[in-house]
Amino acid sequence: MNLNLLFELTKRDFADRYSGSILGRLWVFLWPLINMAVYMVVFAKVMGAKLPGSTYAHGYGVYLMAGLIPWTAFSQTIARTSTVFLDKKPLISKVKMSLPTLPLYIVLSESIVFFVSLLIYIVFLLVSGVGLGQSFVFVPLIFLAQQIFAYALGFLVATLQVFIRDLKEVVGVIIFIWFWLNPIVYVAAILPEKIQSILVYNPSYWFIDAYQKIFIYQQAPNFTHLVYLVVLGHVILGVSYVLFKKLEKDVRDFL
Amino acid sequence: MMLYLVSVVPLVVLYLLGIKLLVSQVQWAYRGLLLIGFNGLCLSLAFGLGSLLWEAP
Repeated sequence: MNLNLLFELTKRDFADRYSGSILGRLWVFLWPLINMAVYMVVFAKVMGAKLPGSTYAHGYGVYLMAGLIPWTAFSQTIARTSTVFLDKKPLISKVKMSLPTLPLYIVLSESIVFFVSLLIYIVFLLVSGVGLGQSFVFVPLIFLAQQIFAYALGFLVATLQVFIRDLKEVVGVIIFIWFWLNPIVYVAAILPEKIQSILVYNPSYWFIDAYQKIFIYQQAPNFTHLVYLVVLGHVILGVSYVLFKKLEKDVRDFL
Repeated sequence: MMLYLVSVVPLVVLYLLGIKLLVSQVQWAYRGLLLIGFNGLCLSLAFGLGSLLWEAP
């Protein structure tokens, strides 16, 4: 896919998202802002939730957002990529294009939303005195690894979904369950030791934990886990690519 | 940290050159696999360097 088409599809994606609304693309900024404000107020002021080991009033809200922002980008990328061939059926049948690179506009679109949310989150961290550590430089790389993993899973499901339509619902259920297998709302330390030892085999934990280490504890991420994430993401992407190449003719015929 | 940043810059340059070369020169039907492999290798190297050099003085 050429870059012009990629940018055009991304632009159209944003236009479709907020079509008919008065504030239009301003919602890209408003949504994360509202989201963050609600979580901070509800957890810090209303529920009085505290992050274990932290005396900071908004500690729990900051912890929650450190996991929730990347998780939203990750889950949205998988969910939207997995239906991309069916959603873009009219376009695919009219324009000759490379299907493996078609989902890239979703990755780009979700990345823009992620970086806007991250920007707001960072402003909050700086204003509230939490600050940022040097390990922050790894955030773009971690995000890239996470999005490649999401793209790989989404692309695999998108290919299969052309033949098995029920997969859309299955993906929704899996993402919902997967969310609760990550220490985003809760802290990993409260889990029994046996569960904690299983948790390290969850690929999404590898990047969620990295963000939490960077933003909450201002430490370097676990690099071994990140290399695992990169390897797993690329292996799944390679398998998805080969599978798609084998089924490409059938995929186009079914569409 | 500085050592890490200094080592990553040539890696990024090599990465961009490698991708450009693969896209322009390789005509194999499965060249996407080479791009995926090369991308994975570079990203793993970036994290591997992080593990080796981040804490280095």
